[in-house]
Amino acid sequence: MDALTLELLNGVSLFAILAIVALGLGIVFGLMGVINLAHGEFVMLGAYVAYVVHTVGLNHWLSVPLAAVVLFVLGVVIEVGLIRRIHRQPELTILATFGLSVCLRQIAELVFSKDFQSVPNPVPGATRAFGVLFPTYRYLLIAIAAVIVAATLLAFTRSRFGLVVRAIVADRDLAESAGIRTGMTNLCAFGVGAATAGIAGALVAPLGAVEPQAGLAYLPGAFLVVIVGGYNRLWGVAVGALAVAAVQTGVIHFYDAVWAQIASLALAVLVLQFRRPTPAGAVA
Amino acid sequence: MRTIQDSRSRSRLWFVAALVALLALVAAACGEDDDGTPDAPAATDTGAESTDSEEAPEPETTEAPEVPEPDEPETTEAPEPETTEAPDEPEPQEPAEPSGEPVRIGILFSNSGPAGLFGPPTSNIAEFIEEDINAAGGINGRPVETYLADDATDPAVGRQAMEQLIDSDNVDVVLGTHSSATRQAAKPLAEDANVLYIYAALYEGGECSSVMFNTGEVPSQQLAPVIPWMMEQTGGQTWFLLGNDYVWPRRSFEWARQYIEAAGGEVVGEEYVPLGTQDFSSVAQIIAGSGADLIFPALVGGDAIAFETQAVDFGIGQDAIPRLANIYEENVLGAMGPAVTAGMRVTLGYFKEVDSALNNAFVGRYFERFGADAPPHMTFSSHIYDAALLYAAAANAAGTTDTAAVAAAMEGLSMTTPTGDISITGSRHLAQPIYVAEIQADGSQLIVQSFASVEPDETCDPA
Amino acid sequence: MRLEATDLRSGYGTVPVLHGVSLTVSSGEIVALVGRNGAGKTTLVRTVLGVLRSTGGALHLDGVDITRMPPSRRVRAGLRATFQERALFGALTVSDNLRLSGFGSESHDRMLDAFGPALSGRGSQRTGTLSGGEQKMLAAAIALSTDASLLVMDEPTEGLQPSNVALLGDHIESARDAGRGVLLIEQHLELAKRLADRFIVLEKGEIVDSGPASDPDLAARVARRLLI
Repeated sequence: MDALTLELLNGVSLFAILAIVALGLGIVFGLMGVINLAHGEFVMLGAYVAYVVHTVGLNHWLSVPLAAVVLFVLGVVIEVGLIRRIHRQPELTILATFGLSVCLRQIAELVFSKDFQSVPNPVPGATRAFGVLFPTYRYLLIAIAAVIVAATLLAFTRSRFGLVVRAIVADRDLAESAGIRTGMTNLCAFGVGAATAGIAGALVAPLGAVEPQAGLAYLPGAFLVVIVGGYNRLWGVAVGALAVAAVQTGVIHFYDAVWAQIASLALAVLVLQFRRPTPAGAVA
Repeated sequence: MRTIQDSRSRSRLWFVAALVALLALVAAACGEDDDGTPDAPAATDTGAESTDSEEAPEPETTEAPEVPEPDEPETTEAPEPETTEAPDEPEPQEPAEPSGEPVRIGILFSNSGPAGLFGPPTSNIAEFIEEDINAAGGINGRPVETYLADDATDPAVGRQAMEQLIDSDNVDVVLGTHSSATRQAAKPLAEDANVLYIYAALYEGGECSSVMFNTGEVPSQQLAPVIPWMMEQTGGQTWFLLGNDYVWPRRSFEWARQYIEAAGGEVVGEEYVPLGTQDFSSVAQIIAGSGADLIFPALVGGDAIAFETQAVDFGIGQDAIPRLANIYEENVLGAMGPAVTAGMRVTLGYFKEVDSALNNAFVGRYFERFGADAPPHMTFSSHIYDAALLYAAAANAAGTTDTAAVAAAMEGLSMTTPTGDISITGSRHLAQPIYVAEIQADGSQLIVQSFASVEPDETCDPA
Repeated sequence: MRLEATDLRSGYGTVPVLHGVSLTVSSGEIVALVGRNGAGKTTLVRTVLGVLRSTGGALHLDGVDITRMPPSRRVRAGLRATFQERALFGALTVSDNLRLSGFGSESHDRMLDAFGPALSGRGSQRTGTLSGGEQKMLAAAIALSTDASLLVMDEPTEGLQPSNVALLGDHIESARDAGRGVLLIEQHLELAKRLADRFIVLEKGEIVDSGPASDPDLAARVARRLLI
């Protein structure tokens, strides 16, 4: 019983991590159709924000809003300088964002060196709940990720901003003709996507290594979640994260971690068989 | 990381391959014109495939102004330095200044990509290699020059880098510290060109080729003496083996299982996780449920850091279940922090804390030259240095740089280096000291046990 | 408010469609643009609104050069257009389409009621499920309900029932009477004759004829050109 409870908690915390890491990609790739290969680097930079906050002796939780602000600004700069110029050309976008990802890794390396860094856990230890001990930080991570993902989903589904984004994805010319400043909206959406990636980086920083290459490990998982969850609807991120977390946790429990990875890739392949193949934005 | 990052890099082959393709674009985009400092980033380093000849010698020219101009006539008059002596051992009389056409030593290493972290100490050590061998009279009276090439932690790039070293830089020997995947990709080129190739990185063992020597630690060396010692020290009997999913951890665990059972212990769990794993919650639960007394983690880089930091909160940290690690090095341990690492034992063929007059002087000189916060000298860079000295000694003994003659002279060669007493075995590996360091409460490494001249359990007959 | 196109040129890729069109539309007049299929009417609408970039010539709105402005800025400057096809977001509800054009939810019912039974009470319906005629009516209703001072309408009555054609005609007339300018692309010659103050005839991307609607010769020439 306790083992099952623990495994459920493991699944939920994995779900939270996957969802928060993939959220920004869900906006940028899933909704806007921008194949952003630098998404992992946004997460990596968010983790470095947490590292800097730790280094100067500030409270770790401060790094969450700070990473959001820093990455939002960076996202805006990148959108203006790069993305909007090539938005409707998927091949160019892939090349450019790939180049960008290398650039950002190099910059991180120049600023912070290649060394592995880490951010100490602000709330070490475990909490007893549901009859089991489970790491306190993970409880907090689950709560914060849930709030941020839910708030973002609501903002994109219930607000006028979300409506406008969906309209632009559906038909950019028509949206312009209705008086919507699509350039400004794309700018904001990309900035918000980058900001949530930064938040994800700050949140996962105490769970692992902070290093210039760290983004490479996040990118495939984020794409997996978005692909499994489906494009054109942001709540697909939650669905995808849930499906991947369930498959991963279940397969690790009954087999092992290697099969778990294979199983989640198989899940993505399976999903693609039954789904229209591209996000609308990419072919717009 | 050597063996390590190669599968990591394999899984990221796509990225790294594209990285290379886009390098020029990226360098331009970044406006990053690096000057080629030792820890120059990938843009310049990978550029080293074509430009390393200017990168590597650059620092040396200032350090070794006595490198002669390459006009040859004097070559004949250069007196032969004593051949079998290790060049680093101080000679009573000043050795003659080397002159003539330089002997070219290629160094194939990872200076970018996931294992790029370990590049800077190696490029630093390349300076010492030139300095020290030249100061001892060079090779057969000729000066040496080093040529560095970066594999970007990618076997395809590594193959190109090897090609560059052999075809463009015309090196006489290649010293390698990189992944096994790069070794497999680069080895055929060395074989075809009949260039001696000394692979100096810790790896899973089993390599055997007529042009190769393998001087890094193999699992049998790291584990045979240390596993029984560990069980005796801790009283633990049951082990959990947790590794990344590729050949080096799997081989290491095959050996570990053998030594554990021979010592009367038992393996109660063996798990592998993909490279790049970030969440260890389920694995932690499996370990907690196994009841193991000891954990042998063969995890690399970020995976190691993620596992160990998460393990503490799941109640299976070092304080609860002692670790014996065979790859955790200073950088990774430093990132975990002493709260996580204090008490861990690490088995390797070199730590900068090795307490010998030779090593203390060497390490002092290293930090004096490169600064107190330089990327620390460690087992990879130390083994590269040793490989260069072994090569110089063998070439001096052979009186030539001819590959077959030097290879013949390598066999049975012994010397004392900052690493300790080392000698080439009949299996073309290296009998070497094995040290166990225990991480202290302040994060420093204290060598608590050493085993002299540990023989590798390898066989090789390349004929 | 006055829309002025001067030697306007545009096309698709390397294929030119408009070969230098000059026209004006002023406040309080309805200008009917007629021409056969392929004459370049829709291209003109798309170029005037800016979703298709002009390759030459200039566009001014009240003397302000709007030639390089994105469509949304032209809309904010007082220009509004309805497209012949894909004029609405089919996947969104009728209300969402209204919200996107800037109408607060409180005005939706009143707006829809004003355009008769075709739209009345359909606010929560997905736009794509409306009939073709109903969608046409909705697109026109949106444009007419904005405060845009210059309207460009591309075949607004195509596919409408006769009763709705008459209703829409009334709305267009009252827009003119309220002092707005309308450029009306219309195949229904009867309706065009009823509404228009001036006619412009487009053929192969060029203006081949124009004049006041009151000129009986012009009406005859227009009828002939469209029939042949």
